[in-house]
Amino acid sequence: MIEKVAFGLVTAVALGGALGVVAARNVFVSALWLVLSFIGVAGLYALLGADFLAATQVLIYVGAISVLILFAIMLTSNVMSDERANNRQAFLAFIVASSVVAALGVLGYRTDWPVTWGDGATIVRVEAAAAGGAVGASAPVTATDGAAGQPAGNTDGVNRDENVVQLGTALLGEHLLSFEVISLVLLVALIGAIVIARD
Amino acid sequence: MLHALPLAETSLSGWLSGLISGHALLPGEAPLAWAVVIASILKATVIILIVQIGMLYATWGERKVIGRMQDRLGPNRVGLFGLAQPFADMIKMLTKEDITPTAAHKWVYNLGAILVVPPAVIGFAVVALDRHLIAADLSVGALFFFAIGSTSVMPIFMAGWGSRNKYALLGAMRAVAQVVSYEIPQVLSIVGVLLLAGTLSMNGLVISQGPLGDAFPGVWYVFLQPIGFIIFLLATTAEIERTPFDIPEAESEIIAGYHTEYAGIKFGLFYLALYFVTISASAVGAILFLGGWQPPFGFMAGLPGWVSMTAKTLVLVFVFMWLRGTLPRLRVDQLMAFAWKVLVPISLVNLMVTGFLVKLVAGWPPLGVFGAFAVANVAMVLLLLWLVAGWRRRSGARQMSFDRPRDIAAGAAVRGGAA
Amino acid sequence: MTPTIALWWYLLVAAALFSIGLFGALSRRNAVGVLMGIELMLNGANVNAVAFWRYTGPSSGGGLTGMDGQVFAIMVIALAAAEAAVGLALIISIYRSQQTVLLEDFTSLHG
Repeated sequence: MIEKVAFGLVTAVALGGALGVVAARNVFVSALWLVLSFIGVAGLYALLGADFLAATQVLIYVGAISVLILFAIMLTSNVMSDERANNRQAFLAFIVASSVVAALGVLGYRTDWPVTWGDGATIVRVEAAAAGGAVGASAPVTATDGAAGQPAGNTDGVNRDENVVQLGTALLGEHLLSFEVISLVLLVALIGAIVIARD
Repeated sequence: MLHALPLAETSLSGWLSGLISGHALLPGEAPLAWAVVIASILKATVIILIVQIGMLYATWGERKVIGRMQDRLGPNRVGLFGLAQPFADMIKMLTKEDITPTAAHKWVYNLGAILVVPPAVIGFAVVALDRHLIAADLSVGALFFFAIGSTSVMPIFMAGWGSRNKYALLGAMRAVAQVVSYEIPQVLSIVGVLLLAGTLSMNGLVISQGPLGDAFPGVWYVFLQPIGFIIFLLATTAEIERTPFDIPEAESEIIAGYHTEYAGIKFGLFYLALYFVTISASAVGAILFLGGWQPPFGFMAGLPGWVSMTAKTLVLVFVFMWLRGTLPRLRVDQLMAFAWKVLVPISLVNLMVTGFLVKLVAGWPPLGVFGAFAVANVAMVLLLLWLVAGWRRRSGARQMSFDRPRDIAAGAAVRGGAA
Repeated sequence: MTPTIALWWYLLVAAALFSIGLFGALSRRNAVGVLMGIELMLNGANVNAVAFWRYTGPSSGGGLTGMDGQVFAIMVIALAAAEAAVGLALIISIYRSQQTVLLEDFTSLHG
């Protein structure tokens, strides 16, 4: 029940923000709606149990990319303009976009996804219960206990603390090459942005 | 990996579940979903109340402290020692005329003032006043705090743009460039601490600095990461726009920056948010570097955690007031250069050295660990002094300066790439 | 334990985000508006990646170990940051020479 309410809320924020982006006439207001949409998407990540990603989404999309966009708007546009925001192919674009969402929706609904939700979760919960049984009521406070001492709201079985550790291990282990490549891309983009924007 | 104590005894939601369902929770049993929601709302209410009162008396304390530093008395007319002054101020704010400029973009202007408070308050959700006095001990607590802090630039942008006032817009641009630039050294300075603790959870961070921490037991991270701590303090001062980094609202240059056009309670909201973030940043500083709710000395073990935590937070709040009472405001070009040319390189070096040391000292006795970090930190400070001396000799100039104002915008572009 | 919300709902939200972004990218006159549309499309794709990680991921690695979906999302976020930095630098640069950010005015390549 609570999951459904929360899902409805964050979906409304994400999609409402997205609609605001394309509906607003003023490009600055449009960018503000974009921020709202990013926050909604962060909420979706949190609901899916990807806490680290949700925080990263807020930190980078809201804290950095949106700021860049707003800065660019202030440096380039007549910020108070309320003139026509869409071009002549807007109607065509609407048809394309609605057929894309219809096609994707039907495909997503009719495909039999190999959903495994619950398998890993059950294992984690059993382990947690076992540990809880083994540790006595007067057991000393340990470092791991503090990290895991958050059972109150987490009834969906995702072990969030383990998640962060596993994500770090995956980034610097299995996916090390892509991690290095993306760092290089960022460095090049950084230098490129400075060079382009300076002159 | 579960609570050491049965839920029913330790957590509000467990207790509420028992109240609603009529039986105490068994070990491992999850509390009712609605009990969790109600408990969260109760916790949030308590925390917001504590923070509100703290904020009111932070304004009083700041005026007293700065008054004494400037050889004045500070507020002393309303109530005993002027203790009722915050309430008088509050009534004044609330009864002033609420003006909306005719040229302003109504929605953006009003929302800018309203939205400035939530990012300041939400950060408190992960502040651990005590082991159990925490709204949400998220597994990504530290990251969450800084992520929420980074959203505070949005209402500033809205305020500056919505006011349709060139000083407000200028102030907003300055504020955003500053906040966005100082976010990098701020986050980099705490990564060293996170490496040492091996967790992002606030309670986990505090416990790892206590006698039972398993990595580096009993040592506050300020002793292992002194350079990180100083960078954190400086970057945070800039991040929350307090003197000497209050360039966005430099009244001698741009009236009052992005809140020039706000009056009455809307101005009050900006004021409120400023003190909220001062307190929350101090609290997070206390958690990351000063051992949070762990008592300062072994013989104080019986002291309630929230007493230690409050004391440590107030010490840091006092440091921020002290800085404000002592230092003059920087120039905007000095400010950007300080972030990008000084703080970012130092924090990167500090991070690399810390990462190397964490691997090196694994398994060493505590004294050896402490010695290794002391040697490394002294070496870094000496290297820094040598570099600064050489740089000043070569350039001959005492000022750091950017040639053109638009480089500030370029600085913001750089930061987006770096993120 | 079965999921409260079916995977399809997340896929639908992701598809809607993507399509709204697509509409924005195709229909805006302002170059920054097009960039915003592209950011929305990237977000939609990311929601898909994370949803598939949560619903179908764990079986691939045995237990909750497969992190591919989240790693993928992080790579996309990093790429989006790089894209925004370079794209906006380009827009600012074009604005300096053309004094406009409306895409239909970028006609210097028409010959």
